[in-house]
Amino acid sequence: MSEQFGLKESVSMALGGMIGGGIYAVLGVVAKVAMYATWVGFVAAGVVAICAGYSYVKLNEIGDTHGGSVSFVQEFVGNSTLAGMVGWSLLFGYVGSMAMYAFAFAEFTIGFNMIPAEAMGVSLRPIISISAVALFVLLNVAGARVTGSAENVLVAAKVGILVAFGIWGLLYLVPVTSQSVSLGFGRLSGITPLVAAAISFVAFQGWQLLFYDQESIEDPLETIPRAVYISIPAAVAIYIMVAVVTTNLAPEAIQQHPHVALGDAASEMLGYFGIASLGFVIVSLSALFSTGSAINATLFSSAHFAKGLISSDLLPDHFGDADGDGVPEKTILILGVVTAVFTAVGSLSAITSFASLAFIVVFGAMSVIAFRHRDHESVNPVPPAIGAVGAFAFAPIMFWNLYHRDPGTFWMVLVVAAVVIGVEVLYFERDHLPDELQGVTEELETDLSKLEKDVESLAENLRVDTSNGSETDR
Amino acid sequence: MTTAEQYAPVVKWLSAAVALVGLWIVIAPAILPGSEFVSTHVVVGVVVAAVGVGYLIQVSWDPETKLASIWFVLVLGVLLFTGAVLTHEPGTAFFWSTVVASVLMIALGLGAIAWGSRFSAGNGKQTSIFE
Repeated sequence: MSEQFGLKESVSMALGGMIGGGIYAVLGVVAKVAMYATWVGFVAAGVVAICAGYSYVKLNEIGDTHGGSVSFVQEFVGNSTLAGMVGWSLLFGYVGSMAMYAFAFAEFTIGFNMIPAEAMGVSLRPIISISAVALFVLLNVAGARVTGSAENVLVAAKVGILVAFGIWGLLYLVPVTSQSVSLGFGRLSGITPLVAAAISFVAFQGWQLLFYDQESIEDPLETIPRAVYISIPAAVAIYIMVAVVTTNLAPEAIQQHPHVALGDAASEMLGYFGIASLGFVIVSLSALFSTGSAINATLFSSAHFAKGLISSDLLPDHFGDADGDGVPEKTILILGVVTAVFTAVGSLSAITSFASLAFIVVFGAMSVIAFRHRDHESVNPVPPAIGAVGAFAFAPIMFWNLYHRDPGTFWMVLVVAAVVIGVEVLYFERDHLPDELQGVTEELETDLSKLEKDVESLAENLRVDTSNGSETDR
Repeated sequence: MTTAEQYAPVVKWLSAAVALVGLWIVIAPAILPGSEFVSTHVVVGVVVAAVGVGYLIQVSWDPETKLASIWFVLVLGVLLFTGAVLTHEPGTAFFWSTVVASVLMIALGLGAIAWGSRFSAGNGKQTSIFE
């Protein structure tokens, strides 16, 4: 039986990768910043994402190697250090995404009202997040996988719940209850929508998984572009509906418990039928399933991706055996442990910002590479330029916002980003470091011997001066 | 015996058991005294039953159906069990019904994972229960 995915499966994979866990994890964080203008943030992030998508599509089309970000850097820039750094940044982005999903998974578990937020004075949120990561590590080590073909029905169910939420929410807001709908136009003049776009960027990263598994896609050069151009606008449309409905129906909930405000909005609109409590339960179950399957799929994809980095000598062999069948267990375990640490110690805002930053950098870099090939007849320079400018504008805006709004998160994101870049540089420059250290040592030795000679000649002069002085005294 | 012949009957039994447990969770609040969190139980039961029935239908079409979402039954089992122990009134028929149903869900989920790992690609088999 042919295992190749067609357009339907490819759209399902891309859309599932984006909205699977993204909206449940990101909406609360973004809405707390932008409130009624949240939807504008999603539109801005979506525009940059689709321009980055165009860049990926064109690089894939004009290049010889079809493998995604790392292959593109290797082929078009020819710098394996840069390719490795892009690979590591993506890997950390995936870890951040999983930590974000695990955080949201725990928030919705607690919001479900079947497990208390605390037990014996200990917050259960980190424990639930770590347990979720552990479960999916176990599943993946046991041979579990979620592929595009298996997810078709499930993605349809997840999308269906969100679309129903959005459509009924809009109907409930306008024709049914005649509430005034605020679209946050008053906030459009400020920087807030761009901050919202920057933070929400991680919710638009799933589509690029299509580029890593092209051999399993039917006619990839035709199918992947269509899947990218369908899935990103579809995700934007769903995010806009959900954002408008949630910010208008549950503004208090966004201030009090933003991460589960979606559930409050669902309760409000189903209250019309007298089944308010069902709304929260349905959204919570959908959130649990979506964030859980997002952890599962991201863990599998990132372990697969890490295996490719190991076999290209871009990641140390200690991370797993790249020669064996399937995904190395050790790689899954390491990714799981790092994710567990992230999700246990980080705030959702910090984790989301860090994960978005990783994808902003990588997508921006791919847009720059595509823009550099604007002379190629099939490349229109406008989308890569928008992708590059947009992505690289998002990063400082995000830092500026964090610095002013949440200094603790700012320092956390900055320190983690600095450590990540430092480790990357140390790893990729490890061959040059001994030579450079040798050079520094030799320079120091030369300087030292020069200094010794100077000191000796100074001492000699002093001795001469002293003896001359003594003779003069006499 | 081919992998599919070994595999499909177990998937059928697992799916049927999951569907029955889900169905019980749906109807239990209606027939047992001391029922609490009724809407939550009904929705959770419907989802669990749907997972079971869905896989029963799927395995009849494809004998190598992957139980990619069986983890959700395990997670819901843990949620129901913890919820029953921490928030339900202990000792009632509904309490014990929830405890037994959630333990069954956990056992079915773990059993499927343990059994399914025998069919993973790393063990040289043709298929994986999840893949």
